[in-house]
Amino acid sequence: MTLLKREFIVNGCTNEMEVSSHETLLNLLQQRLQRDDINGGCGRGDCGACTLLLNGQPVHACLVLAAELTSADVVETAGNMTLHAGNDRHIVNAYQDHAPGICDFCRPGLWISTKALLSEVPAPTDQQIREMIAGHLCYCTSFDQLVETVNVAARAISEGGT
Amino acid sequence: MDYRQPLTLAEALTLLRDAVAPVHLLAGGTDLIPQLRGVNDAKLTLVDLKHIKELSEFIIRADGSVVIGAAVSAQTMKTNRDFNRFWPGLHDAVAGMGSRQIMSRATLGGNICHGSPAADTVPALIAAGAMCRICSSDGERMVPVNEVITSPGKTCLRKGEILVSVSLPARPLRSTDAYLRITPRKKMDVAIASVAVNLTIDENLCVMQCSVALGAVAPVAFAVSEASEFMTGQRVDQAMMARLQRTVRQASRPIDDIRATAEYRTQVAGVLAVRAFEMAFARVTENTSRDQYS
Repeated sequence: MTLLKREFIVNGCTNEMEVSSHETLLNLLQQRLQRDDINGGCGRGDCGACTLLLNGQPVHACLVLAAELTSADVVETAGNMTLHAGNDRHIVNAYQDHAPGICDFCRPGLWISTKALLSEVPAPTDQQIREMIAGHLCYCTSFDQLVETVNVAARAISEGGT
Repeated sequence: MDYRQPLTLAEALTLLRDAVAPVHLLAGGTDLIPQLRGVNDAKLTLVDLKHIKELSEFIIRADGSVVIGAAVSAQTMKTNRDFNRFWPGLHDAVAGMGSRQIMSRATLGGNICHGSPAADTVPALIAAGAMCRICSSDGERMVPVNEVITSPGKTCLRKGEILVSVSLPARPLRSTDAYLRITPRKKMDVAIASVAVNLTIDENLCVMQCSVALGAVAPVAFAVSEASEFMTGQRVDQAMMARLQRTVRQASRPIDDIRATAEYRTQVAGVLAVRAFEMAFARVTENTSRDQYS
């Protein structure tokens, strides 16, 4: 098996490790870095459970090879969003208060997609929110409730505060 | 499996030329990586093309001509305002490629080379008259996009060749395009029929040139040349729309499958063609009134 030396940043911490050429970023985070804030679902980019930010862009960790990472790559998972006050906290709180029925399987990915959407479009339309949700197969809650949750988060961020 | 990350096109082409075992080209990986799951063939080589300059450039010139590197992401194209202004139909086709997460990674080259009959960008590229730059260590060739996909999942790329970029021609005055598709589910689904129209009109609002291309209603996407022929020089009226609908339905050769029947695909292709033409016509007349190209 070919092993490749890779250096990359996860939630602000630099990781240096050897990865195999066919290992996905999802496997690396879950199995080798033992992160519990990312879930594997379909493994083919349909369910959105493994969504994370790669250099600020939402991607499916199951569709990224660990070998593709370079020292310039910055990975952010949902767990990082609970650590700081500010915009991330508003998103986390909105989900807690307005979509409490979502289980831990889809929630991390939805947090990340919401963060990506609100950083690109601070005041999204319901249609834009629905397009974001289309990348997640979540059946714990209604999509109407998710639209409301993202709207609440957007308003909280625009009003500021921590 | 061996993983390579060439930094220049020459390096990538040399790798391909010297390869003795199967090589897979990796760009966005949204189709390839699920296919490779469970495969741990020591002989297989994966060549990551994302770090090559020629495959990552996205050039939009003042005359509307565009060069899109094969590894440019769908999101990069979707968020470019000039691209949307000159090629709104192709822009809409790109926007339909998948969820936001898929858009971050999926590439134009991948959408073409995957060879799906229902690939969203292909009908829009065919209608636009796009040319593909294909390079190998022996040289390069320019191939019209409709000749690149030869059958479902197959392309004309020979061993050692890479699709480097796709070029769109300059925009004549009073030109635009439109793309429409129908899917069982609005997002994250595959088209059961799609139509692209690329239109140029004259100052009297007659058709100067019109290309109509269909996706998902034949083994490969294709241009309906009969439609272009009868529309050229004609005034736009209901009779023209009725004939367009008939011509598109006659040209369709769809199959029955889990998503739709052949009969439904044929019917809907005709409806989409008229709607796409009307959309393009509305866009171009609106642009003309705003004198956008002056």
